[in-house]
Amino acid sequence: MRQILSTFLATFLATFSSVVLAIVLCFALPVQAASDQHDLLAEKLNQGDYSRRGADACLGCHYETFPFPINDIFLTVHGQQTDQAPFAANTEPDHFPAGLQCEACHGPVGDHGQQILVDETTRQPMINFGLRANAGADLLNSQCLNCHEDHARTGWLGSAHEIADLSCTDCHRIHQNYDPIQETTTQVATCTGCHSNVAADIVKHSAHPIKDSQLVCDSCHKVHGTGSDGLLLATAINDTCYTCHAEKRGPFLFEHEPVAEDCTTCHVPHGSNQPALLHRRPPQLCQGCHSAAGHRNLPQLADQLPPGGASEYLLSRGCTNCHSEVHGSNHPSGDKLRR
Amino acid sequence: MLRLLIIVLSLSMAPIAGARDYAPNYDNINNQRWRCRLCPFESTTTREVSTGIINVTDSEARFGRDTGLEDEGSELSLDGKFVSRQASGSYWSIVARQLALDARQIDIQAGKSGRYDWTISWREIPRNTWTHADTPYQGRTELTLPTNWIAAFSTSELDVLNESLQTLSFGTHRKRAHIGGKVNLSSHWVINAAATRETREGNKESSSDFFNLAAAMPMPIDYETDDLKANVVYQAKQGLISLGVNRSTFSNHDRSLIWQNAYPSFNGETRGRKGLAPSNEASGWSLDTQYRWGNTTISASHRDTEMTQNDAFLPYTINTQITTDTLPALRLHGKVDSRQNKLSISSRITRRFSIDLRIRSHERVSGTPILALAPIVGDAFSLGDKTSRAYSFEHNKQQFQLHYRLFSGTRLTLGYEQDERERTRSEIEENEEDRLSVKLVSNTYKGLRLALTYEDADRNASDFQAITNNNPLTVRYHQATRNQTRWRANVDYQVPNTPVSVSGYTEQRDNDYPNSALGLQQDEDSSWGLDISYQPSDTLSISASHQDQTLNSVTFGSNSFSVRDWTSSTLDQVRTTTFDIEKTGLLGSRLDLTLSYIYSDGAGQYDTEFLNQSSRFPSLISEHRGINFTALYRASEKLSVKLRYYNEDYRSADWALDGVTNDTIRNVIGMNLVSPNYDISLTNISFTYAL
Repeated sequence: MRQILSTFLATFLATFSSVVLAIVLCFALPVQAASDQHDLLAEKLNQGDYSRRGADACLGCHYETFPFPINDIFLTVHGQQTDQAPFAANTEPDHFPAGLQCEACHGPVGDHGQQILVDETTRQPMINFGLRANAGADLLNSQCLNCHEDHARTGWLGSAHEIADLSCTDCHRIHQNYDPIQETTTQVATCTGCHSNVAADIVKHSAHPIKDSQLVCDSCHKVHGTGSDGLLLATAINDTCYTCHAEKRGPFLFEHEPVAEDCTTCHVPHGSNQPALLHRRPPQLCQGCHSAAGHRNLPQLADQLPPGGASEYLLSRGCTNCHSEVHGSNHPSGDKLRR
Repeated sequence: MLRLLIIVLSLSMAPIAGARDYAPNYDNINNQRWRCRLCPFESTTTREVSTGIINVTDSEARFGRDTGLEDEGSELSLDGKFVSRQASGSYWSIVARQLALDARQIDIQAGKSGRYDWTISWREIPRNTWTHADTPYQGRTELTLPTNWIAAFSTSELDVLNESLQTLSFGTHRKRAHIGGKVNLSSHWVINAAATRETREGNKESSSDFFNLAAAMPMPIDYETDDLKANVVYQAKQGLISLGVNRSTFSNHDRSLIWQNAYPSFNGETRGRKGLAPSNEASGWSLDTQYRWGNTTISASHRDTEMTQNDAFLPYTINTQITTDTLPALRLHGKVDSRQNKLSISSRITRRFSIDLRIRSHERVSGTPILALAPIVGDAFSLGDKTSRAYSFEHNKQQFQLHYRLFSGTRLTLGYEQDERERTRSEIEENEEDRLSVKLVSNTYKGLRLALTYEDADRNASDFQAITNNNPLTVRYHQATRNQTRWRANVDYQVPNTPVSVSGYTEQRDNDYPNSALGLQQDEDSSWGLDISYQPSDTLSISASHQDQTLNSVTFGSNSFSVRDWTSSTLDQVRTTTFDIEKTGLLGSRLDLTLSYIYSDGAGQYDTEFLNQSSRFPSLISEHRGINFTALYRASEKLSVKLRYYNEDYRSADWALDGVTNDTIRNVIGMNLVSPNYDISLTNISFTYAL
């Protein structure tokens, strides 16, 4: 029955996906304008027709009460006259785009400020970000990476977020005086805006202290890319866990093999319906690997619960009532992880 | 060979890839007249102090699990924020949160953007697990029973048990001090350095046994961890190179836990002793490089870490009435070398077509000596010789992806991944997994974003070696042959010309273990979610979401140490619903209101089938309901008042705990732990004054 259901679901979803894809492709045809904007903006970058007056030309129209307020950028690091910043003073060509002011990010002005286009309603576009983005993520991100392609972002290309065509401004806010994703009190809400499954995980029965921002996303993840699975800080999963759980690092006299190999063999990092962030609870978790003769391979039945029974393998801590040192033991009598 | 071929292929694309896409043309810039007269450069200073009262209506560890608000009563709330940012880029800030609570934080930052940045921080992280646990044991690292204790072989016959119970709570408290800095020596040279010290104190629930007679008991936690990191980076337009060092030291100030045997001893084992986590160290170095050649970027990194552990061994037993062999060594001289390498090549061949290649390897080589030991079981007698266990493994992963941009905003990615593992001293010494993936991401239609991902992976296992006393039909699931399929669909849609956005996802991951006659057979994870947001103006936003997740697994076992004769399955379902509304700028822009609601309903089913008898356990329940209301009123330019009301209603049921008293299990002294059920409110009124 399960197999039939699976087959049906797979077929249905494949069909559904194809239909959605077809719809998208159909919709794609009329959006030639968006594609043209991307190509136009790329061409503007290539031509490099920058303004004569810099930000003064922009701020003549984009003033404080303009429909799209921008002045808050001057309260941030991007809007200060510091070295390497867009508004750095007196920069040499070698340091461009530092000092190119608004055009450092939004590209050369070209004809944007000079002429009305033929239909008399639109201006030549500048590169827009965020909800009004008018170019592909690759072009938008290239503007940011002109300055920010550094040690912190060596893993960006080919990373999960880059492959998902995320642009920098999908997460970051530049023209407002604080960037929610960089604040510990608001980072989790920003990330779970897309990763909503994690928002559900952090209120489960057992979870890391993410709900109250004691642990935030970049405590474990390097969202700009690392080449590791799950965008983890360290190459090996365990090395990420050891930053807070160094007591599990060992090495031990008697190691528990899955612990040394991968913490996620048993644990679910964001949250679990089971205790201690486990995939499944003892004894079933343990019986997935252990089946030696004796108590290890006993079936556990509900009649072994009170009032009819009281199995030490099910109740209280289950297998760990005796085998308490599951992460490894350094005791000479700890071969069964009981000492 | 395949790996080498792919590397050569990737690198050979570099010359074709040509000059960098979207490289700005700076040749025609004349910025001599760029005065920025209209630029509103300004220095800003914020100086605020907030103080108030927090009141909690009841005590419950889980309510204050991570906030330190686990006790009923009132607490002072105290926050401060002092921030100065100059137009020149110099800045300093001191931000303090919850100074009067166990979760206090202080962050001090200073620097000059683009030149140097310094951070000093202090963080306290409580973790309260149980408010109420009953135990007859007293002490911390040496647990004793009352002097009038009368031992018996069954907990129901421990006559003094109930009268000797005392209540304690469980939890730990981390305190973390951190200092770090980054200095841009020039536009090319950067130095980063950081040091962190963390202490963790408190207790955790644990248990210990004498053969098959066990007792739950508190375990002391007194840890100290020091981390040091530093690296120097040289970066230029073409790339960068970084060299780093790191060192981490973990110290456990408690070496062991001794406890008095509550049961009759039959070979002098009146006390037991178990080892607590040994102190250890890890130190290493790292090298990261990146080179950009037109539209091709090559990154490589190497990490070398040595982990050591050299605590003195405890004796085989604390029972002085037993004669034991001499320990083969006084300490372990434990050592593990970890070497991690990564190579990435990303190349944009044309504006539409790009490739990514990633090769990773992680080698864990154990240099820990294997010792022949004569352990004592239950501090009572010897069952023969054993050898210690130390594991080495090698994990290699190659990932190759082709990306093709069908049209602007739509990209198709085809991927192939090979994952290889080799292990020592293991029933399955080698695994090899091949994974094919296809991903379509489309942002083409304005406002609509679609992402579809499908993956299919097959993992093979080397021949099974019966090196343990497991039933040979059992293959450990993390080593077993496995077929995995995963797919995910995401849709995000901003309805044109409206303030409405809708997003949804559905995801499925199936694992099958076709060659495992016993053990884990299959596990599935399926979920879906829907999110609606309505933001008609800058001052009003309303959003609602729902997520639904189902996890199930099936395990086979054999009671008779032969073929399968029982089945156990688990089914976990979690449904989470949220609703948020935020309205700002009321009463002449003085009042902001927010209301958040979250409801999470988790249920777990556990079934066993044995000899045609089906057995269903009581449902596991975890139901969380939270309502949070805040009102912020700006009374004047300097004074604002914030009122917060939070109610959390939590219901849970766990058959492993509920109804399990100190003497319910014949051979385990319990701690009377009860699944948390509470309805607690928090009220906080605070006044913020701008100095």
